[in-house]
Amino acid sequence: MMRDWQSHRDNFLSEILSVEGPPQDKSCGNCGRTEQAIYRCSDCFYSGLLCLDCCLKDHIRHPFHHIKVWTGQYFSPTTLHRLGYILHLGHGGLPCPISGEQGERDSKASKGTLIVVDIRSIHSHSVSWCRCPGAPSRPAQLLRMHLYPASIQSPRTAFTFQLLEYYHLDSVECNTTPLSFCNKLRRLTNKYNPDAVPVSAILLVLLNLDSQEHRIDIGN
Amino acid sequence: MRVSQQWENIQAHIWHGYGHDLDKTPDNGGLVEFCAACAQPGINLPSDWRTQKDQ
Repeated sequence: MMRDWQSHRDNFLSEILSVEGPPQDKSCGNCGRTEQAIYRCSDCFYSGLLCLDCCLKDHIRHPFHHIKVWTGQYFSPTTLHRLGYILHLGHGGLPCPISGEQGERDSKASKGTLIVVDIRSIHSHSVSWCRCPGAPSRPAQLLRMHLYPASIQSPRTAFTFQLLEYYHLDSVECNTTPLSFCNKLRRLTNKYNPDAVPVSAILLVLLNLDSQEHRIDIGN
Repeated sequence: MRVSQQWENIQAHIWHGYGHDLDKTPDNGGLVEFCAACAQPGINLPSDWRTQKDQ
């Protein structure tokens, strides 16, 4: 089997390297514009280029995707946060009409930064909370979007449900300790400088959450 | 398991500069990472290590 593969290795190698570069078609895959079509999403099934507007629009419902930007020589990792993405809560990814009306005046009160720990990395997002009359509390807004808040009063860190389920199975099946799991997330977030990811607080919260989730699961 | 070995081998070719130039083939040990803990002549061995009898 390995001997069969050896004759194909060079082909595989050049195919793998060719997807690292920009595609032949330099226009945006959505709107067809060629100017500023320099973004590419590593998580979408579509691997072509996108312009900034289409990239932000495409990711309204995919806030935890990883974006790369073409620098002229290579695709450099960037984040949706850096491209000006705002994570809207309470309206299925769309802006809250009340927050929109009040606009700039209250922008500081209704927006903030939220750290979201997902299965593939730790994200920082500008978040816009729902301010409709009778809007649920901030932890409830997070829970409705399948995000588990790390604290109750004014949550600034949240974990995706997917991550908590994954962590549970990882600890049961692979005996992963919280520290190893956090180190893995650190390396996933920043492959070249994992120590730059501020994860110590997240570890403490994760340990605490683990016991909370367990209590919820066993109905205690 | 087999696929992960193939993937590692392809990645090693890329990391060691054999990705773009397919005519260039790695020499013996050409895909091995440098190990600072191993004995390396000229780096962490005395210059007369070959002639020292007791080592």
